[in-house]
Amino acid sequence: MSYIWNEFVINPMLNAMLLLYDFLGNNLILAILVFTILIRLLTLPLNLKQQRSMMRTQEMQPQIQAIQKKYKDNPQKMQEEFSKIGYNPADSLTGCLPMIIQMPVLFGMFTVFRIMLGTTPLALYELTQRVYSGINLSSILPIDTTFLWWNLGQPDPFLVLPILVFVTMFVQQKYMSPAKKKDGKGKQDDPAAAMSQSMQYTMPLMFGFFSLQFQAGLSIYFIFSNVIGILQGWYTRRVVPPVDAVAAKSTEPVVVDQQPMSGFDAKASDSKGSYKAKPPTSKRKRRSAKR
Amino acid sequence: MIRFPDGGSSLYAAKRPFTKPILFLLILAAFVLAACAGQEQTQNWPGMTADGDKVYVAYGPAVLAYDTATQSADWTYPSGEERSQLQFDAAPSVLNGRVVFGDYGQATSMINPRQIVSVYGVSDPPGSPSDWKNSDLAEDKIIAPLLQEGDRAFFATGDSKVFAIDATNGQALWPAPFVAANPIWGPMAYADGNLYVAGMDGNIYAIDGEAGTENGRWQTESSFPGGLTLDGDMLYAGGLDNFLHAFDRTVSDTEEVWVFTAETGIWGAPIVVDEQVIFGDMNGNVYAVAAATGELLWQASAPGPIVTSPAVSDGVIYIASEGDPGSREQQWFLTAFNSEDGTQVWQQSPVAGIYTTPVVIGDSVIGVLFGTTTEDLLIAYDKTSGIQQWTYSPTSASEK
Repeated sequence: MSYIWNEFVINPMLNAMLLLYDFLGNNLILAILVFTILIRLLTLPLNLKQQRSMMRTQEMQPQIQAIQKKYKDNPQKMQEEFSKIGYNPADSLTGCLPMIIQMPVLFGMFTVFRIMLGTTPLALYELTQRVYSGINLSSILPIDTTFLWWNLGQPDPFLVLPILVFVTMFVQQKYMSPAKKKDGKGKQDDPAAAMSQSMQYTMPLMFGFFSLQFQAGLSIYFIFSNVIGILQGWYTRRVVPPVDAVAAKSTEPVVVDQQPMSGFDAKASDSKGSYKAKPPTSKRKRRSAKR
Repeated sequence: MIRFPDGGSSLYAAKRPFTKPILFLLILAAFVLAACAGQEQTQNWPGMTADGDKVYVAYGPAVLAYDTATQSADWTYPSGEERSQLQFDAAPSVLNGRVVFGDYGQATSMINPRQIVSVYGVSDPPGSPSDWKNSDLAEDKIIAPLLQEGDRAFFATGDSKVFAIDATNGQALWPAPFVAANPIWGPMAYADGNLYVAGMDGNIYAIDGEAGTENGRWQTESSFPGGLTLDGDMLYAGGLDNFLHAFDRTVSDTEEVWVFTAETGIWGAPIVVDEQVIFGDMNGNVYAVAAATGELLWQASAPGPIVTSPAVSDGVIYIASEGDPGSREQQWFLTAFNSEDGTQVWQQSPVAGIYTTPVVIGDSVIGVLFGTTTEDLLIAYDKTSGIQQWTYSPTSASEK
């Protein structure tokens, strides 16, 4: 297992980094930036899928909650109603799948930076044993780990990078998470939003904390990755419309006889408190419908 | 568990059974990553120095003084809880009953990554009132073997600095440390008031031992992880650029007197025996070249990369190598060669790697074992026959 991990994950990533470092004039920061972009491009389809899945689930939350409340004692009927609005609870797994698939890349990055920016003879020796024959190591070594006032092979003693990691990851999480309802009650009623919003704080805190202990080079990678993630999140929200699964799967509204929950779309409820679930639509579609 | 306002159990959680485990997995993974990175980032192989019948080994958690004559541990430093917090891998320096060594440092606190690195001077055995510890100078790990010259001690740190201290009390002697362009990992040498160091930046520096200023330098396009060897007026340093560089130390800023091209990179510092410069390369080749001209005298082969310097005694050189590092079944070797013609005398395969230059004491050639395949730290072979004599494990503290 360790052999496969090294041969098919770590060594290719490490050698790609070394090649970039060599081609880019032994500039480690540039190499990290280009490498981050490449990794982000490779995982872009998965990231987009994850984000679309979250956005779609978010838009369906009112319907989902209404159905859950009404059919809490009848799981079979609940499933049927979910199907009608085009919601599949297994989507929660699908939504997380990209994150799981990216885990080896994340684990790999930790190892790659540990080896490449190693500060001991043992780390350098490990590097020499992993380099492919086409790479001229003597033209690369010693790897220049200095950038501004940082030694990228050491944790940042000035705490600037951990703070940047925290801030950029927080903003990225913000973009990736379902937006809060305007009435401020959305979080309470929407567990997905609650979970995402709690991750908005825990993940940046966690990575910011780890950046205190990891090499500064890895913190730089996190920051680049987060900034690209922010741009990607912005692009997805503004440009890419969410998948309109409901429109494709259901033509009739689902009628649920109950009071709408807080955070509900009041316009979708009639005077008796019944709720007509409407298919989720993007802002753009709603605007065009008004016209 | 997320709860709805009605206080019931979360249907959301019931219908999304994977969210919490995945979140938990992510947090767990992050902690594991942090722990692994913290450990591996600073791991290194041990350092060893010999003095009389004793070897002094910085092997990670402590410095061990081992008497090979009685085959027993004399002392270890530190003891108790400190041992789990500190790391020692730089070969200690022993002179006139004083042992000087340094640690890898520890973070100031959980949220402050600044390192507190200490250098120590202890009597042999420790416990004398004159023992000292200085934690105010170094800010990065001490990797290169320390060096004592008279009452001076020199040490280099991972942030490319070189310090001179009073070996009797640990106080700094230079107004500021000497700063190289890259770290110094290998042994240093002292002669005629100059400290000679070879850095990972490919430079060899001559540093004024009194003032800490640069007296000269020799530049190459190489990196010298194994430091240098001084013999008379000559400085020899093997580089990762595949060259063994020979400089005349009396004339600084000059080209090499000669250069020998090896098959691949050279890690360990060479030794000089009977006008021969002997060293190994990362492909397992062992070379002997004429000290005056760099002409190849003989070439032999050991299995796998060589990162140590050879040890020599009575016309035999002993050199450790790793075997094939890409192999699934890793092997390590200690090979003895005749220093006159390079013929193999014997070869042994220890249970773990020897990445530290072996030493020869009496009839024994002693290596430091490094790796997870054994608890043994020291291993001794008969220097003539290669038969294993004894091993020592600090965990069981029992000689076999």
